[in-house]
Amino acid sequence: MPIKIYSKKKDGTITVHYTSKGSVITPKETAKADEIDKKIKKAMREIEDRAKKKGLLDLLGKKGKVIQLYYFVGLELKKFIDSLNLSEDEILQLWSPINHHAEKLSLDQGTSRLIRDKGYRSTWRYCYLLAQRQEKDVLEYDWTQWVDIFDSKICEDKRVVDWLIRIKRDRFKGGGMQDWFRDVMRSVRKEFTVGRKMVTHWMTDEDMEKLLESCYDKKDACGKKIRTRNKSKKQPKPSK
Amino acid sequence: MEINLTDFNPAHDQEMVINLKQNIDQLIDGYESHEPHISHWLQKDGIQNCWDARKDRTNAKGWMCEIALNSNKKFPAITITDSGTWGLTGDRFTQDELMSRDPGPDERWTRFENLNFVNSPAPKSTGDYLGSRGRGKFVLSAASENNEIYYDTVLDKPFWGINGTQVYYRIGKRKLEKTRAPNSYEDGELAKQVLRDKTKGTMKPLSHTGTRIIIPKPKKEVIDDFINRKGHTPDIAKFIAETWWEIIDSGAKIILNKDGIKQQIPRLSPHIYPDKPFSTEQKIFTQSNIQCKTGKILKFYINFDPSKEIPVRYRGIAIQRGGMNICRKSIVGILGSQYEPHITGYVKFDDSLEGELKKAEGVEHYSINWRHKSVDEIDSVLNKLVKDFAKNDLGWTEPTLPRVTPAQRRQTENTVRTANEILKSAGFGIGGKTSSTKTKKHRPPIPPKDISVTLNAEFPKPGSERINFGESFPKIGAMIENNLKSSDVKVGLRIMVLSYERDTVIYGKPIHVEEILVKRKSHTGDLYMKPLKIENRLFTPGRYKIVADIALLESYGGKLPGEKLDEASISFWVETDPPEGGLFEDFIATEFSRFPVSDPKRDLRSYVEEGKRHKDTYIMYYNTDHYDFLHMGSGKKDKSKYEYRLCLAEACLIDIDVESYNLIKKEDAKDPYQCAVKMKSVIDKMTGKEFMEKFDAN
Repeated sequence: MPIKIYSKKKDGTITVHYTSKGSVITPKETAKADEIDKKIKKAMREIEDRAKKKGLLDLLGKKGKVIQLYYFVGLELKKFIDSLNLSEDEILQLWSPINHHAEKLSLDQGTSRLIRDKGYRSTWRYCYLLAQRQEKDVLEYDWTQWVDIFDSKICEDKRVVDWLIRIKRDRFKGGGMQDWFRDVMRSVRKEFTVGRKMVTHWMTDEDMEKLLESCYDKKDACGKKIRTRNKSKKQPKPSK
Repeated sequence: MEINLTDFNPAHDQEMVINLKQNIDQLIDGYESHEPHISHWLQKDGIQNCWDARKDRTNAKGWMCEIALNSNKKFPAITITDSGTWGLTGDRFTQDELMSRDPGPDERWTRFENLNFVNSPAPKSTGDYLGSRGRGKFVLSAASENNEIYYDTVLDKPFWGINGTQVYYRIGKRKLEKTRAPNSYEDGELAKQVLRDKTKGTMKPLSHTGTRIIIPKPKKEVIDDFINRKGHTPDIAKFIAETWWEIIDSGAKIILNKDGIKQQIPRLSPHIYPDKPFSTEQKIFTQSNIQCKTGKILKFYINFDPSKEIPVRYRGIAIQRGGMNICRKSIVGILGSQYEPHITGYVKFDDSLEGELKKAEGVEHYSINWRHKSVDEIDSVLNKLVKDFAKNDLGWTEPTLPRVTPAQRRQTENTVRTANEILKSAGFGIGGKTSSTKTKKHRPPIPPKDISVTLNAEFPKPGSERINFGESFPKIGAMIENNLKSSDVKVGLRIMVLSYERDTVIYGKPIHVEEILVKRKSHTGDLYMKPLKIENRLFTPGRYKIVADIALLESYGGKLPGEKLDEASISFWVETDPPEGGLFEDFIATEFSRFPVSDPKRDLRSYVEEGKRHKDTYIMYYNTDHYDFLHMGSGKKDKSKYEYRLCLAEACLIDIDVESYNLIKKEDAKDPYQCAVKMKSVIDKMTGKEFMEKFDAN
């Protein structure tokens, strides 16, 4: 399905072009794209209105709380996008018109969070992904941590994310949440993608659990080691 | 401890002296290469300045421009006066101010007095400014025998004058000298006195808001173009009509005044671009709102009249930007020469496409570089529109190229490949596939993996990695090989289609998943081997890959279940051609006698056009009517060597044209003599024994 794409030039002007399946866009395709664009515009207005009524727009920029807003936006977007019946590639192209028609939620055009990896790592996509989970699970982590999760290829396996939510709920005992989370993620990445190249598709739930648990066991050592190394770097050289 | 370093004495500093006259001569040469008449540049740049300064950018309400010749002996001069404009607004920046910041769009006085301060974009949806850097002002000076101009202006709002009082009137002058172009100015009553004295009382101060350019002592050839010969329209009036017909059509007033006799430039459209044909033979075709990927063609108009010859200046399709005609796109390269004298037309674009066009526009506003990537799409859409019109209304058919035998075709392909390899060894030409095996020879042999996978994908068209919507891979499959001497291994095989850039799995899951036990020292044979259809719903045009990977299912040799053992992949391109390796796509032999006698291409040995497969590749056409071709020798490889020699010169020209500077260095390209020397040396070197022998091996 053709999509109307908006891009901002360096001088601030917005240009429009249409994605197309062929080399030439037919008037029928542009009409279809314009029709979808109108739907997007309407949907974005409604989403922002509803977010405002719920007081969620006030959470923008509030670290730790903005996750509630993004989860709400994700749920609303998911309902809308699923109704369009688009392919994965086409969905990735939606972030441009969605961002263009957003007002309060609009990301500055050109920021890496809008266009990273051609939309695959866009903030809008991450909101859409959040909506695939229960609210109570989503709220276990803040937005920064979810971005870290979605940025990691290994977390494309649902079981890894389930496990991350579970250990946060069961084992995190307070203190520096971000440090704790960073150590866990570092250990998981090391075990799954750096040391070995695991194809999680073939891992049984039991094997997966075993390997993830071994990551958790190593995360303290991993974190400690790194923290010690950083600390020693900062120490001034003893003068003779 | 403070250390004193020896430095240059600031008292010895000296500014670099630039031979400005030489620079201006080069700038004028640029104009001359497109248009021989100074009066043409004068009207184009003069009116362009007035049009850019209009107050009402949407409807140009109240806008007018008058070009006048006063041929009295006291003070002969040409003036260009506008109204409905802002005048030369803004303060006069000092040199220090200009060094610290660029003048804004409203600093018109400063912009007019200085050079190369790039124009900011115009307000949205009012069309961009036509001028960009202010080169046109030197064209105005070039029309004067003593390289001098005056300019006076009246503003709506008063500004602080030299004496600290508020004034509305200001006059300035510029004189071109060898190494400098000093400006001076006066304002208020003194300015009016200066004007009277300088023009020997022939001119009164400007009385309305706007600007007047005064070109004293105009050159004779410019004066000649104002003269009404035997009742014919003066040339400058024709030039104005040809350049500004679009804004005149929409009501803009341009007046030509020769010694007090005024005439308004009439509309050109009723004669050249009529709405309806005058006869049954005449064909007119228009199409509006043609959507392209980057914008819209607002109107495309073409007029074919076999009963009369269209004046040379109106032949081809007028490329319009912001109401001004930039140049004309010749139809000779599209339809051949026989239609050229009978076809005229124009094309108007929306703001977005005008922006793309501007990127490819020559600095003199007289040309478009159709090889520039920003006009790729415009070029191909215009070519298609012209061809469609010719096919439907004129019964034109696309010419077929001379018949080529399969053996001749193969020989040309080999020549293109060898030429591309040589050019690539010099760092020129796009990447992609290469048949060179040189680098591979020096690599140590890769030991066979214990367990490996190979992918087998049969493309719908043998030899092409392109696949279109609706087409299918007849068979896709994989084979797993176990080279271990003592162990059978259980592995999991996945075959997936991924988008190339992001590794997104198409279909949301692998197209095939299989668990299999691979016996020691054996292979599985072909697994899966089923067709794959490329569906419009799931793919967008671009690069994709088919990936087969295998992972362990049971622990083995310290490896865990799930650990990847091997991966194989094959790329393919959906609805788009893969980039070929090298600069040239093809060498095509053709008769240049098909070009009209007036076309300089007719006498060439070769020329290049942009390729069809990729924006950075080219097709070379060579002239089979040329003496050199007809006498190149009858040896089996002579034709290949001839084609190669021709392509070297073309490669050098492309190198300079696209500013890639692989063969000719940038500093050499700037100096014509050095550029010619370097080009000769490149061709001499690349036609040496070492290279020419490669064609004997083909």
